[in-house]
Formats: sequence, structure tokens, C-alpha cells
Amino acid sequence: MIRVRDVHMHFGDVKVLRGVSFDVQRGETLCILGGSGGGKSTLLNVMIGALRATDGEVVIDGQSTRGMKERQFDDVRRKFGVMFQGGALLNSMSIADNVALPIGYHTKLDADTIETMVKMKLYQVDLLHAADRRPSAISGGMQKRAAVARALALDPKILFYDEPSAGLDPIATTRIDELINKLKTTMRMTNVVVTHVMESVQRIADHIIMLDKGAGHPRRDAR
Amino acid sequence: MSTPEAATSGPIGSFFGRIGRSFLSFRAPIVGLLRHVSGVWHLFLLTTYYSFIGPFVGRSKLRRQLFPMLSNVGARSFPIVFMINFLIGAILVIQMGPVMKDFGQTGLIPSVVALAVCREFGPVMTAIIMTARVGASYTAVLASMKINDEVLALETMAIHPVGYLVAPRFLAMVIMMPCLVVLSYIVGMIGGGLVAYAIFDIGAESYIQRTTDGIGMIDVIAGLVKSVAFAVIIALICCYYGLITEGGPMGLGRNTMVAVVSSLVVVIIADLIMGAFFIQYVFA
Repeated sequence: MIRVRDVHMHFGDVKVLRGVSFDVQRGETLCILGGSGGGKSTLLNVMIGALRATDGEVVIDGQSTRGMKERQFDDVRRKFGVMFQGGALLNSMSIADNVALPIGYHTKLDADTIETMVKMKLYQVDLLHAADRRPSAISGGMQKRAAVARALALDPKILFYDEPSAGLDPIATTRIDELINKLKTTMRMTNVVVTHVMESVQRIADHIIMLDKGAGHPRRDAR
Repeated sequence: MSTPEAATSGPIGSFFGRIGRSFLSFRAPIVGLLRHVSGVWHLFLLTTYYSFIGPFVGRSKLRRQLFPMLSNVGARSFPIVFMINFLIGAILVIQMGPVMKDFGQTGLIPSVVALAVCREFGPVMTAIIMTARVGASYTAVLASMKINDEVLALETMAIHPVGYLVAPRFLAMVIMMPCLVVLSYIVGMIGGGLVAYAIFDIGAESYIQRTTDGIGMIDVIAGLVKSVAFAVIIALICCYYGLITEGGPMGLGRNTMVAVVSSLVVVIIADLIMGAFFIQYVFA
């Protein structure tokens, strides 16, 4: 499902990633671990196309993104969803409108169908009761679940999570972890999680990769 | 034997050394300025595509965002544009009236006010108001979205930020600015007319007659052309500085300030160039 091969990322003279390689199969959860400044977020940004690798290759669902133009990458982007560290929900609209945004933008479905789909997505993350609220009016944990609902909007095969536990209390963290596991078991979702919380890793990871000063250490079975 | 040290020593070497150091000290700001000019030009091309071609080839959906933007840019700017331009018209008569009276030319006051408002004050004052009221909010909103990863989130949803965020703001500004400038013409002349009546006893009928005699359609159109150019400048510069923001709240504040100042400077320069062009080739 995802193949990362010998990815290097340099910012001027600073080498952030130095030859990272790994594979993730369909329905697996990979956790990317490492200390601050170790290149975790950079690796995630390379995989989602926010940054282009200096060298190496990222293949997503059989499509190599190397040298791909921005418009071609848009087709790849519809195959995955991303949950950002702070949720990154659009504050000017309600939770339901946030989830409806990619559906309305990329499909020609009528308003009633979109509303039904949005309710289904919000039900999956247990946020149906907060559909009409603004992101600023809900808790951090709810914002992250809403971000997962938005990431699920176009029924992707892959979900990327950037620090899903950051800033959350243990109960909210557990809820997010249960949601990740539920998506894996019920939808065979491929999850790639950047985190530094070991309790979460123990709960969700099938495999892990340790990033140390930009080098990816061989992945090993987490369980 | 000559050495490199010897070549740079002495009065001539010191002179060229100073020139070289001066050039190096100016190089960074010049390169920075060129980078911003290039960035705004690139944004202009993308915005033009997503505003005028994108909706017809399924690359952008503007309708839902455009109407709230039109309301924000146009209807909500109405009171401040009305008030400022009314006062500008009144101030023009207060400042010019006594001088013209000394020359026995009070009859020309309506024409002079109409020309000044149509050719210069209407478009420029409206542009200044729109920069402060709308342009600053464009930069602040987009900068806040950039800092909170909302722009990146749009990109990962395969929604181009220029198509979703910049194009509706650009179109709203380009559509509403000429409308507001037409309003500024009317209220500027009304403001001037009221003061002319109160101080110089010029009646309404006479004022309107002399105003219509004093200006032609070309003056009105010249002001509208300026207003469209100013709208493009303000929308692009303010959106550009919003989208390149980095560095949290400090970056947001800095870029908002830079966007407003840059927009005003470029608007005034554009006004000078267009004014000279119209005087040379159009009004002549």
C-alpha cells in the first residue's frame, strides 16, 4: 500500500532524512517514532506531498509520486486522508461543513446525499451531537476526531496521523487509539501514525520505525 | 610583486571595497524584493486561472464562497466608504472655495470637485479604505489559516488553496471596488455640494448643472479603470502575504503590516503611472 525507498530530505546543508526505507501493507498500522527534530513530521510531509524529497521514492497505492506534477498528485491525495496535529479544521465553518467540504468539492452529489454521508462519518467518530458546533467550541480530543471524520470523507484507503495524542489527556488519547484500531479492523484502513507516546504505540502499532537523526532504523513487529 | 592584499589596499582599493560592500549590503533586500514580486506574479497567474478558467473546467467551485465575500467586501464597506468620501468632497470645497472666490471663480467649484473626485480622490480614497478594512483582514485570515495548518489541510484534500481561498477574495474585490468607487463619486459630489450651498450659496440645480458640464464619461471611466487595477493590487498583495506567513502570531502581525504598507505604496505608484498615462493619452 505504501512503499518508501531511500528517501533523503535536505534543507540547505541540514540533512533531515538520510535514506529512510519501509513498506506498509494494506490494513496495517505503522507508528513512526523518534525524538524531537528527528525528522518524523518531515517524513510525514514527504509522504503526503507537502514536501518533495531531495532523493528517493514514495509509492502510494501503486503510484510513484517521484517527479509527479501537482495536479497528478491531487489524484493520489484522494486516496489518503490526513489528521493534523492541531486538527486543522476550518474555523469559519461548523464541524459538519468541515466534513462536507471535500465531498462537495470533489463530487457532484446533491445536498441531501452529502448531509447523509456527513452524518455517517460523524457517527463513525461519535461526534454526531457536535455536528453544528464550530471547531473552537469543542474540546481538543473532539477536534481530532472531527479531523478524522473529515479525513474519512472521501473514503480513503490510507490515513496519516500527525501526533494524534499531542495535548490530550489519557482518556481522550485512549479514545483516539480505539478509533484508529476500529478503522483498521472494520474498514481495513492503512494507518501511518507519527507519535512519541509509547502507550499509544503499544495499543495501535503493528510495526514501528524509529527515526534517529534522520536515519530510519529497521522496522520490527511491535507486537 | 603585486598581491591580492595590495590590490585592495590604498585609496583606490578602499573605494572599490566600499562600493562592493555597499552592493552586498543592498543585495539581500533587492533579492528579497524580487522574490516577492515574482511570488505575487505567480499568484496572479494562478488566481486568474482559478477565477476565470477553473470554474468551467471543474478545477474550482467559487459560487459558495463568492457571495459571502461580496457581502463582506461590498455591503459592509458601504458605510465607511460613504462617510470618508462625503467628507473628502466637503473638505475639497472648504479648502479650494476661498481661493477660487478670491479669483472670482466660485462658479468653477462644482467642476473642480467633480474632476478631483472622479479622477483621483474617489478611486484612491476607496482603495486606501479597502486596503485597511478588507486587505488587512485578507492577510490576517489567510495567515491564521496558514499557521494553523488549515491551508496544508486543504492541499491534502486536493483542494487548491488559491482556488478555494484567493480566487473568491480576488473576484469579490474586483467586482465590488468599481461599485464602491461609483458610490464615492456620488457621495463626494453631494458632500461638496452641501458645503458649496452652505458657504458659497451655490444652489442645487446650478451645482448639478456645472458638475455635469465639468466632467465627461471619460473621467468616470478613467476612475473605474483605476479602481479595478487597485482592486487587483490590493487583493493579490494582501493574499500573498497571508499565504507566505510563518512564525506564529508574530509573523501574522508582521505580514499584515507589511501587506497593508506594500499595498498602499503600490497603489500610489500605480495611480501615478495611470494618472500620467491618462493625462498624456486619454484626457488630452
